[in-house]
Amino acid sequence: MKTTVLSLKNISKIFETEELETHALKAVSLNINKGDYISISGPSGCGKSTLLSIMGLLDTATSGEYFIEGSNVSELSLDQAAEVRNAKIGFIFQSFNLIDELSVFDNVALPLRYHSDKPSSVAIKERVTQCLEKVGLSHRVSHKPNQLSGGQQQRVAIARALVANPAILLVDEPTGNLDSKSGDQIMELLEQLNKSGTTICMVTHDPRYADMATSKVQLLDGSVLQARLSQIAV
Amino acid sequence: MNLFTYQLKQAWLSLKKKPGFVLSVVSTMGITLGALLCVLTLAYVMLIKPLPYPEQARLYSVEHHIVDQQGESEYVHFDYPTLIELYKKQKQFTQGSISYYSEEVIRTHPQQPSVNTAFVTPEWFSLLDVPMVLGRAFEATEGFNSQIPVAVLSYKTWQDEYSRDPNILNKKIIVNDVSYSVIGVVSSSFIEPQLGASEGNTQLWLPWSFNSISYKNDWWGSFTRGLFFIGSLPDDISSSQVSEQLRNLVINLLQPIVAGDESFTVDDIKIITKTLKSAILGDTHDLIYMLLIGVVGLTVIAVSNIINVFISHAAQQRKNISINAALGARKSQIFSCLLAQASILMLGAVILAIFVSSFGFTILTQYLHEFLPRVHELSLQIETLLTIIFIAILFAFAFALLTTNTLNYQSLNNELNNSGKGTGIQVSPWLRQILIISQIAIASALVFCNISLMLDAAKTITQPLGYQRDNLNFLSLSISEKGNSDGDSFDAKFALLNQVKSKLLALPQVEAVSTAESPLGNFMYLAIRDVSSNTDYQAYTSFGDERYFDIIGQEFVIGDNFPPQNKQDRDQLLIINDVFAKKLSPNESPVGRKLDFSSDGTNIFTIIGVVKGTMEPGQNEIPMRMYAPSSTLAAKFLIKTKPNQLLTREQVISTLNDVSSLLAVSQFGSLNDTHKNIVMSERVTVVTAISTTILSLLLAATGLYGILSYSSQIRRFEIGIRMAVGAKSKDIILLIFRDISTALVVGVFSSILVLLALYLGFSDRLTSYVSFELVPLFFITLILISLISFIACYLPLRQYISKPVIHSLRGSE
Ligand SMILES: Nc1ncnc2c1ncn2[C@@H]1O[C@H](COP(=O)(O)OP(=O)(O)OP(=O)(O)O)[C@@H](O)[C@H]1O
Ligand SMILES: [Mg+2]
Repeated sequence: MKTTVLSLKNISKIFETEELETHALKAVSLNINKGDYISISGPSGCGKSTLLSIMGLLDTATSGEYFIEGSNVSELSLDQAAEVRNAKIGFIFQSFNLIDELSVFDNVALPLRYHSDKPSSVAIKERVTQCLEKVGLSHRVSHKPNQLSGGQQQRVAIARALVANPAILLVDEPTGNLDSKSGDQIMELLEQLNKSGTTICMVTHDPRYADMATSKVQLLDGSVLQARLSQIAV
Repeated sequence: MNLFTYQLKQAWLSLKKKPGFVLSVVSTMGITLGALLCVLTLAYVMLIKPLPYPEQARLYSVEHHIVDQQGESEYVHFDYPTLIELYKKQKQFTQGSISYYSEEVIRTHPQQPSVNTAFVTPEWFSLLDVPMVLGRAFEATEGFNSQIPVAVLSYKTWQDEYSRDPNILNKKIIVNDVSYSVIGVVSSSFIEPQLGASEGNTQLWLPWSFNSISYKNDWWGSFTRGLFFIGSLPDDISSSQVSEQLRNLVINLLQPIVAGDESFTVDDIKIITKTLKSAILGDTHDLIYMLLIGVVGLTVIAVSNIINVFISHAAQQRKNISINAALGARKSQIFSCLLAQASILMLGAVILAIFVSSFGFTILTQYLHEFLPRVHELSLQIETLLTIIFIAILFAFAFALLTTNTLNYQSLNNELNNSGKGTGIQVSPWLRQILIISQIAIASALVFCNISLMLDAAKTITQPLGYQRDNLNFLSLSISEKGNSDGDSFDAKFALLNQVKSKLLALPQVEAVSTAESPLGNFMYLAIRDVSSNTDYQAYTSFGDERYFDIIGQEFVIGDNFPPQNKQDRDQLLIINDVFAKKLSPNESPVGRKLDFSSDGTNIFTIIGVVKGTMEPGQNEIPMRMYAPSSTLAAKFLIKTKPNQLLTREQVISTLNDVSSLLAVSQFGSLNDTHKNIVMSERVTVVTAISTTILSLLLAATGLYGILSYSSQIRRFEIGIRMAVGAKSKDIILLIFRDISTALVVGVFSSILVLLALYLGFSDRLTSYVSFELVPLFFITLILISLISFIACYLPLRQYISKPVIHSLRGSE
């Protein structure tokens, strides 16, 4: 029996600028179950990042309904959305998005500092170390992000995404700024994480990486073109 | 040099595209430099500029100080006999002059105006080299003892009262029943020294011998306001030598008079000879220094605001500057480019400053000439203008230098290659912290000082004086002796005054009339001797009739009021206040004691009652006072009107005209208005302090807002990331607030240091202000400053925390 982590119903997004209206998403519906590894691909400008930011509650949809683990999150206030993001969602972006002034440790610990449970510093230390071990960076805790390579920075971002035990990882072009070797390492890491139970939704336009997902979603001009569910992974 | 003119041109062109930037820099710096120019000029005119008289360096004023018996306060007044003896006997001054200032009525004029009058000896005109537009000044023959009735008019009087009549010379004017012939008009270019009650606005000069002082030759130790001695000293004698010699002269005169008197010794007398310049300046130094400190503080706040504006502006021009750098511009060239911009802006600011300061001069001359000596001489001075230009040039260099140094020249070159996050130009964190600290330190110090000045002044304004002023008016009459045959002049005058009183009382709006001196008027400081103990006292003396205490609501402690006044009843009765009573007879009632006003037993008064003491505005202690019954011939009245009813000067004049053409108003006004005038300087302080407080808060707020909005713009990505991983709006506000809280704390501590430094530097003048009441005040200041900082934090953040996070995460605008 599959539990639904995330479900989108008829989500549309319209950007209004002075000159024109952009229909970035047109009635997109999508279900993601626990343990899924979904890739979203499509040509540039088709709405992939927009979809991901709505799924991650970074932006609001113009219309449609959105549920995370069964509760409706379409109409949350900004602060409520922040709480849900903190507890349920882990982000990994193309451009690492680490805070330069903070050490690796503090970057990873950041979500825990905003956690509603207010974990103790001992608990934080334990959890952060555990996550850094998972991404193979436990020896770099006190470095600043600019003292790390691109691949290492992205792994710090992955550790940060994992630290609060989210229901799903939202990943946007994780290899975009990396050479192919580091890119491959990151993809391997994601695959491992999925194998050990993490639900992942990843935007990529590299077909090689898209194929690593258990199911693929194809976006074109704001609409889902094809959602082929593969049954390889259980 | 050629390059710099080119750069000036370029700078001009690029500034033209940035009107907002230009406006904010030019207006802020223009107003600030204008205020600085104004205050510096004021300080220069008062403290440094020579007086506008040819022999000014030799001019001195002699002051007669009496230390009162408690040794607490000093009175700076002459008594008439001392002044006369000084004038006649001194040998030190090559020329000396005595003067007395009062208000007199010109009776021959149709409006019978009361004018500021100076009774002077002829030397007054030669010492000050008074220029005349018509006729001449007093001559030696019109000196000390002469009885030649001549008059000199001020230019303004000639213009306002006589419409510049070219035939004014030899015309007669009647003042106090003497007919004077006009011999001259003073030129409009003459600036009179601000001594005494006329405040440099003398309208009429009459010879000394006609002076209207009541207590003359035998009134040793009875001090009169408005008496002055000025003279010119030869180079070979110092002012302290002169003081010493004059003191010996005065003491030799006094010794036989005070012999055998234990309570009064000649040690209580001091003679101080000071330059006319410092005599005019009086105790306004403090005010000048406070204004200087205030304006320097505001300048520092404004300058740190502008530094921030400059740097943010440079950050916006990043691309432009990077291209220049990529094309091979050296750091020094970028500096001179920024210097060119800064110079143009400072030029604009200096021009604006000149207008702002001349506006300031107008305001000062119009409203403050009574408390600030020499404001009539205020005009743009080349010395201070050059100072301001120099300061502006310094600022231009500072702005350009600081901005250039915040540009990371190395990363500028990479700027074009890396289209990344654009960290090429950032205000370095320490500079930002210093800007915030200086703003907070100075703003808190200024706000604190100004609020305490304001509270202190407000206390004086609202201080209860021990009697009430509402609905009370004071009227003083001048009565011509003409038209009475000498024999019955006393009876006629008495009848006239009684008629005035009943006519006034008959007016529908009048409730009560008392023959009395105003409680806000000049109390005479008179010497008396307690007959039973043979001790001498000095106390302020006023007079009133039986209605006086009731009308002003002054309560009796013990004893009786004066009996109803009538012509025959000329009892020598006295009512004293509780402070005097305690001094005179600490253990028993002083009622029945006798006081001698003459020191030889010829003028003895009996105390019949004790009243509660009243205060003078601005004083902290109730002085010793006594009240004599008004003479039946006193021409001074307190008039109480019915609530909310007005008595106008015109109504009074027409009432007087109904009685007799011999009467004229020499003074009329409500006690509340008089009180307002007395506390004018406190009222000005309140207004100035409130405006300075608001101005410093506003400047600090906009400055902090500028700095924080710039820094939150820089931290936009970081804010986005933090919100993406779950930070709520309050977390973000706290984050930024915590970031400046160190600066806030350091700033507040520096302000305490600044205040301590001020206190140590001026402790002798500030002790009266310092008390524990200042502690809550300091907390109020802290709350105000924190509130302002918090708002300055919150406003720039609003755009990030009130929209979905994606807006902050997307690339910069
Ligand atoms: N804030 C915005 N305002 C206006 N239009 C926007 C905004 N954000 C995105 N768009 C438009 O919405 C459409 C979808 O953008 P989106 O960033 O989701 O594309 P994408 O699929 O992620 O492209 P890429 O593969 O290049 O990253 C585009 O046409 C884009 O121009
Ligand atoms: Mg995208």
